[in-house]
Amino acid sequence: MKNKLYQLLEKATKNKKINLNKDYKVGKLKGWDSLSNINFLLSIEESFKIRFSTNEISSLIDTESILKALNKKKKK
Amino acid sequence: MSLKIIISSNYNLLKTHYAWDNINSKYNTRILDMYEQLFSYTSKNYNHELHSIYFFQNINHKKDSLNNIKKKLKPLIERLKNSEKKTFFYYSFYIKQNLFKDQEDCHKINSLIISFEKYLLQLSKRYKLFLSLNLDLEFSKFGYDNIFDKRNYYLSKNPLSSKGLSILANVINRTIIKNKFKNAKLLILDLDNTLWGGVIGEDGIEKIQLGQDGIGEAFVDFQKKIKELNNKGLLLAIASKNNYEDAINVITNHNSMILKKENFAAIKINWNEKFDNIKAISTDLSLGMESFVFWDDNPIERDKIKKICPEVQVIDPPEDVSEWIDCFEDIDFIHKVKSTSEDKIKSNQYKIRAKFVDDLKNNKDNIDQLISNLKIKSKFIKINKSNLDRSEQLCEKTNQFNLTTKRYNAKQISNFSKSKKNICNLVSIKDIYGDHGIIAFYNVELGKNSAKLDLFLMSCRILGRKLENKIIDQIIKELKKRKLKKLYAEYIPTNKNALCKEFLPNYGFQLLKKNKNKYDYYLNI
Repeated sequence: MKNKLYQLLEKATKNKKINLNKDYKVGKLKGWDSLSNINFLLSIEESFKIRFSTNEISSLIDTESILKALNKKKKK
Repeated sequence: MSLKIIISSNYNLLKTHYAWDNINSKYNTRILDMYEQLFSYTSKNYNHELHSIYFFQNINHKKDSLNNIKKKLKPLIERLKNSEKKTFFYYSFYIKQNLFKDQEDCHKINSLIISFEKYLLQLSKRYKLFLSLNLDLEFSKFGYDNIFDKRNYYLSKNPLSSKGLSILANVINRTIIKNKFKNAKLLILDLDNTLWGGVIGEDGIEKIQLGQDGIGEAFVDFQKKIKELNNKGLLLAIASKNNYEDAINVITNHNSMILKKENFAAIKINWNEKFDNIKAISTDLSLGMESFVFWDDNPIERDKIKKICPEVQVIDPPEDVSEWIDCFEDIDFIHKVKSTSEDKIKSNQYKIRAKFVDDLKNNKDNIDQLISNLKIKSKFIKINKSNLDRSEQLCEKTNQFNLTTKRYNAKQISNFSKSKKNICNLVSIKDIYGDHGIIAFYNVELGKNSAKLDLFLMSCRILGRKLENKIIDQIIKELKKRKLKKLYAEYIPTNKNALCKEFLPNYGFQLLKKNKNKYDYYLNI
């Protein structure tokens, strides 16, 4: 899951140097701003067939929290 | 120059969203951040298309009226009507669903929208560069709940869901294609697993799927659909990798075949690469590949065509044959074929022409007889206002039979035609295939004792008739009248005009000088 997530991040931010062992955050990674974050989250929704609420989206601003939210939704 | 696509909207279109990948990969696309930026692209000087998307949010008949909406659009329309570029204007209404609970409200809102659409239609008609397209029609196939997403609106000022955005991108993509491929003239079909199920070379005529219940019926229906369009004037061709005898046997003898041999303007059944066959069809029928549509179940063949013949419109049909008819009906530019009696005659002409080209190949010795059977009548025409545009167009577009490839514009051509130091003419021809119109153009510079063939070009669709010799004959006649002794000519090679390399020496011109980028010839008159 993490693998796929990082792939989507690479695509959404057009950043090729993303390391699977690192955590990233909006604003701290080149190409990852609030706009590309929306696109990133929408592509996650599409790939994993889930949906984030408006509330959740505003707090999903780093790989750690996104992964967590994703795991939680997938378990349900 | 590659086509540039400019997309703008009054709402955020999430420009890095994956929905745009398809358009982005094919065209030089720009999705604007601000709607207003659109107006900086309305001048004619750029090669681009404008796609403008307008969302009407929360239209409410209680507070909105037609005048109200018009007012909102007015600044936009004012500026678009001065645009020199065709603008595609897509619109969508997002209306609160609860308004539809009351029948009266529902009726009122619908009539508001209808009156608005009427208004747009009038505008489109008045300003020919402005084309309005109803997005809601597309959206309704999937339902409003799937298309719009309130959450996205609050997060990013984008009213659409991911699905909605994908559909919007698809609609735009289709509009681009439709605009680009104005008239599909020829549909090129594969045979195995396209016109019938199975592989004839392996299964044999008894075992292929055609006409039986189930999938066999789907292939028959697909053929019927094609036949319908063929009757309307769409030309058909076959490009199939097969043994000719096996495949033609099915076409002539299988009881369930709807399409017969005579429905096809060109048949290429062999083991050559399909792109070579398609190029051959283009030459045989003298049709540009940009009017070709290619239908093949095999994605590898499709990819090859996409790569090697990018002008050809390649359809990616669904895997399930039962969905093919729907897919076929969705290809707008195939259905643009108009049924005129002239088209039907043309379709026949193409077949005769294909036969002529075949005959040419097979009877190399008897070409003169063949050509005289064509009953060619050529006419030399002086340049005037009515044909100046055509002269310029020929100059711009002719690549293959063009000795010097000089690109003159209308003004230069007009000057040549007025000058006493030039003979500058157009040539039109008629033969048993019909009237081909103006197809050749030349400019001769006159000196004191000699003349120089400055430009000589011929449209490639009438090649093979030895018309080029006739034209030089005519030029020489003119020069003799003026008592000139020599005609100089040159061949400037480009990567497209190898076709006419041998023309001058074959006619009898003597080589004077040869260097890398120019061959000089002369002819004693």
